[in-house]
Amino acid sequence: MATDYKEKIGELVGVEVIEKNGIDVEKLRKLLLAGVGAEFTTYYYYTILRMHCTGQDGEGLKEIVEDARIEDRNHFEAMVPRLYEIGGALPRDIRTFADVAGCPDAFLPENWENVEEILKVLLEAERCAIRSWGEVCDYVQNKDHRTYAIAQAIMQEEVEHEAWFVELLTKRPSGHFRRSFVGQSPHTKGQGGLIHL
Amino acid sequence: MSRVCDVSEVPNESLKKFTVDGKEICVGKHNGKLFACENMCPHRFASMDKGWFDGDNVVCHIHYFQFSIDTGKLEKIDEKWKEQSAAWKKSDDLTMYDVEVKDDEIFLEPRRKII
Repeated sequence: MATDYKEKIGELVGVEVIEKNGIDVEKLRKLLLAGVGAEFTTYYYYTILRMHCTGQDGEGLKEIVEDARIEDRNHFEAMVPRLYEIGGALPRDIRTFADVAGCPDAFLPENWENVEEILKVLLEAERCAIRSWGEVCDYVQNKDHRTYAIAQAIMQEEVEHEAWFVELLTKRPSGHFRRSFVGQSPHTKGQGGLIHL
Repeated sequence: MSRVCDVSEVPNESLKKFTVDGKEICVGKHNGKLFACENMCPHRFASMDKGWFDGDNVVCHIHYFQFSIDTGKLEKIDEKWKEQSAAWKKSDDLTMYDVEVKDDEIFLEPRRKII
């Protein structure tokens, strides 16, 4: 059984070293579970939001929402293996998973026909993600280099997503052009479950 | 009791982070009154020292949950989350510490829970 491994091979050195650096591994497991929960639920809700980006205004938004949607799913893929490495796990029941997500549900707004209202929901979701991954980065910096590498890569993409939606809402001048392909994830590619990118 | 810092390190209307006996603690001063809590929001584990004050509550910076600085009790959840499920909004209270000042130094110990 998986729980018997300690008798066979002793303590996990990958966990031991971060504990020695001052990481409370149980707290880190909770932070990562909340983080990947937020990415997974956001991916789900962005699917609905994207479906409602229609009409002359909405069609122009659709591709950018799709970029953010797939990259948020990529963030889930990138961090989940790390959660398991440190002895954590996804809940058996997906309902439990949604209940512990680090960000609220990004519900479709009632007045979704006004595209600006959809943009506000997208922006709020990205902002929560930035704050949440910022917590992880601050907690593990200089203590858990592996988690930090993944979390800061995710954080970079979340900051870009925020900028996209801010630019769309405000017409603020933009450094953003376009991704090379949907789900490119220029910062998180190659991490965790994203080795195919 | 464990020593945390000098009183001067926690100015009025501020929240500061310290590590005491290996644990992250948030020490705050609001309206001239010192208090201390675990530096972790019981809802989604955010750092309380990044928050702010609203009345006699400390506000978590991620989801704006408000906790009493006297008791640690969850006092208020932002109206913007009214559509969210009860399970998602569920939160314990903040873990509080008793604070004592001796010779301009701050000391604390975990507060005993009244059952």
